[in-house]
Amino acid sequence: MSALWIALRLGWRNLWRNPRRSLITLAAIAAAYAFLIGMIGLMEGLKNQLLRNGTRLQLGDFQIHESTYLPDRNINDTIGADEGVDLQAVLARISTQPEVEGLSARVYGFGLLSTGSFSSGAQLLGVDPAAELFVTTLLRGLRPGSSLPAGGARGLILGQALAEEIHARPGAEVAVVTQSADGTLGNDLFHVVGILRTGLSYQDRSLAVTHRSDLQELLALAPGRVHEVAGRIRDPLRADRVCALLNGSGLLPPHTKAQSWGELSPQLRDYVKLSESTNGLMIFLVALFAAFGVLNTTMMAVFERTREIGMLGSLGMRPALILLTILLESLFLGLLGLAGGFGIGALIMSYLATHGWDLSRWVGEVSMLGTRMDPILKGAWSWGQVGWAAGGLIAATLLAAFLPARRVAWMQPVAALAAPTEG
Amino acid sequence: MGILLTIAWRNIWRHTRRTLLTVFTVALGLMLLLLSIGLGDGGHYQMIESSVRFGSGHVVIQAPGYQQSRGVAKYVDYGAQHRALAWLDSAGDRFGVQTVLRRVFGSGLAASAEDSAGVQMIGIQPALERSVSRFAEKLTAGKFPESDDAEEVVIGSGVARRLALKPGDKLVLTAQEVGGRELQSILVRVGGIMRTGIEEVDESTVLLPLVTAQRFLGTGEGVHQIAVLLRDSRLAEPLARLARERLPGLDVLTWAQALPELNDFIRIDDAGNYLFNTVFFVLIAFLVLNTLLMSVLERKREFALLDALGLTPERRFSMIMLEAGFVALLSAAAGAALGLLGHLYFAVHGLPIDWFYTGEISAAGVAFDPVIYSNLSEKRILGCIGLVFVLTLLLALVPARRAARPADACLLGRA
Repeated sequence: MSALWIALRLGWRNLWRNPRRSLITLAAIAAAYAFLIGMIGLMEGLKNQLLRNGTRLQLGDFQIHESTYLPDRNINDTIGADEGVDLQAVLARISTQPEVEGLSARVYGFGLLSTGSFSSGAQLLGVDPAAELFVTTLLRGLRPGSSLPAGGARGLILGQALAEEIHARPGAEVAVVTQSADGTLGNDLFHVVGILRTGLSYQDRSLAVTHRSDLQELLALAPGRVHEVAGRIRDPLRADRVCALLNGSGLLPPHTKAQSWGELSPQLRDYVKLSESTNGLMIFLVALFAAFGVLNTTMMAVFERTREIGMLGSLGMRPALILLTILLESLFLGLLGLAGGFGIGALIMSYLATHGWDLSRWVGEVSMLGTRMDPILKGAWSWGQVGWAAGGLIAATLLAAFLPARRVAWMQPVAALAAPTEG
Repeated sequence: MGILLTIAWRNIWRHTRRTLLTVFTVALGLMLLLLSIGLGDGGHYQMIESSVRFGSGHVVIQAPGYQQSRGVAKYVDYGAQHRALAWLDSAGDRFGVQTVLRRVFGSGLAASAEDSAGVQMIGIQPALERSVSRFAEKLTAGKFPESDDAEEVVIGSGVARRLALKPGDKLVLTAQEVGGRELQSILVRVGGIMRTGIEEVDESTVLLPLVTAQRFLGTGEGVHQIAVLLRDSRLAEPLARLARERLPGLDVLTWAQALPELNDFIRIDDAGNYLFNTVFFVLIAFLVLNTLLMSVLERKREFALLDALGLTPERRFSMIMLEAGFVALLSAAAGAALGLLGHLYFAVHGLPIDWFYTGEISAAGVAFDPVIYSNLSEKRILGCIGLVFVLTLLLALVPARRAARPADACLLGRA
């Protein structure tokens, strides 16, 4: 205990024998840590944003389908298959799960939209607008003042580019032609109640949203038949677990399957994983450079003290304790550097978290990985990775001290005492 | 000056380990910079090439307003096409025009015996497209149509899956023709199935031979787009500028204007890389400054001696700058060598990004190629090397000014 105490005190005092050198090195470690905190924060912010947009825009955190529905999206593969299910009862059962915050039952179809002399193909989506609002922000992208009327009114919301292509303004009548579930050609007249802008060019060019019951009627589907139930949960990162729970619970109708956003959009999941490994690489590189920088200092600090170390050795201090003293000196240096870096990093992050990094000067809306990137990138703390960065930098500092210290600590005291002053 | 050079050279080798460590740090930084810029530029170049070959061409000529709202009636008529093609023919050599493609677009419904789906139809010239565009490379089954008026189509893999179609099967396309209020239908045969990796394309595209598409959509001789492919994408801007003057009454767009989302993505990615590289380099600079400054601080006694021997502050300043110059030269040379070796490796063998991703990835509507090849222009290489060299010299100003300060003669008395 007393030996450790001596090493601690010696290490701390040695650190301040050349305050300027210590401060310069400390500043370097602080700069490296602040840099890592800022970069990790931006990467985490981007990841959160893509995840949020990816799930909240249309996908939802999980989806339930008849097991044969994906990927073909056959119009007859509705939940519960031909026997059908009591949809309300199923939804009520799933809602009892504590993590589920919202559920939206959806119907899909493809149709040709026509306004007299202009026409275009479109993906038809039938939703219950009240339920959809609890799951996604899809209908919040509506131009103000418009909303989807109740079923039976045959209201239609068009993606912006689609609306422009067929020259449809709110109030316009649109003929919708489609192949219905019984194989006949379904067609009906809808009127445009709103224009939707998701920022995803593909969606804006092809999406037409209507009330679920209107679309069921057009497609000749019974009111209980839907293709998909999309759900939202409190923490999207727990989607896999919630799905496993749902699939094992017996709450779902037979032959149906719940899938998380990660299974539905593998590229989004890949990105979430990749962003962690990219950060790992960045931490490694910065720690490597920090190690080089600190190594120069510690080499100087240790080699110029060779004689003093020889003195300690001849006074009976054991090599291991000498090594410990030097390592502790470096540890103090690293910890102080991290503390300073954390302070600067926290300042950077408080700016990034509130104001964000405004990219709109350079770009408009950008889609990435099938979802949208917002023009303002906000930083977000990822404590785990900030912790890893701290660990990496401390390891680099200790390694940088260990390399020269190892050589000096085990020198013969006589040889060390005879060493030249400069090393 | 000669003696200063000798002294400076010898000084840096008085601490071989320290000098090599500094040189290595800077060289490693330069290498990483060259690799990251090379792979970034290479990835962007591949995205541009891939999307101009799928979609638009380096320069696109369209009817006025077609970009804003794609109505089937907004086509370029025969006379205007003829003018445009003739002009491109005459200007072609100067701008390295590789191919000029004419295309027709329309949307409609495709129906097989199984199901129906909304589709985007593209009328293409099969023989020309096969030689330059990416569509033909991406065939997974069947073959490309032979002639411009064959009643044979190529469909995206998603369309084939949804409609349960394979080569040789028949499908009915339905769309509204120009000016008509009636829907038109046409029976065609599936010639081939393609898989591009871009979900929007695979899920909804049907490629028709040009003349068949023109007949079906009722555009007559008209096309919606004249896509110009160039040998060098950097000539797109000057060609478009000249074309705008020479071809009044037509919209001329560069790929950046025709694909604003891709352009935005590249700019945002570049901005991110710039930020990262800049901050990373400032960090490296800081670490190097650290070393330079400390090595000068511990040489106080030496400077006092040099001062006593009559070396003027200016010459002491120059001596440190020369030392830094040697370090910078060595670092730049080593870093450039390492970086260019790495660049050559990745330019030939490529970096397989499917190491990191399991599936297909896309951004701005373009699928990344599974392998990224490094692409560095001479300007970039010289820029990076110059930056590192100049930065190291700038950093040396701090310790060099310190060395030029009047020295404390008392230091001479110490051991």
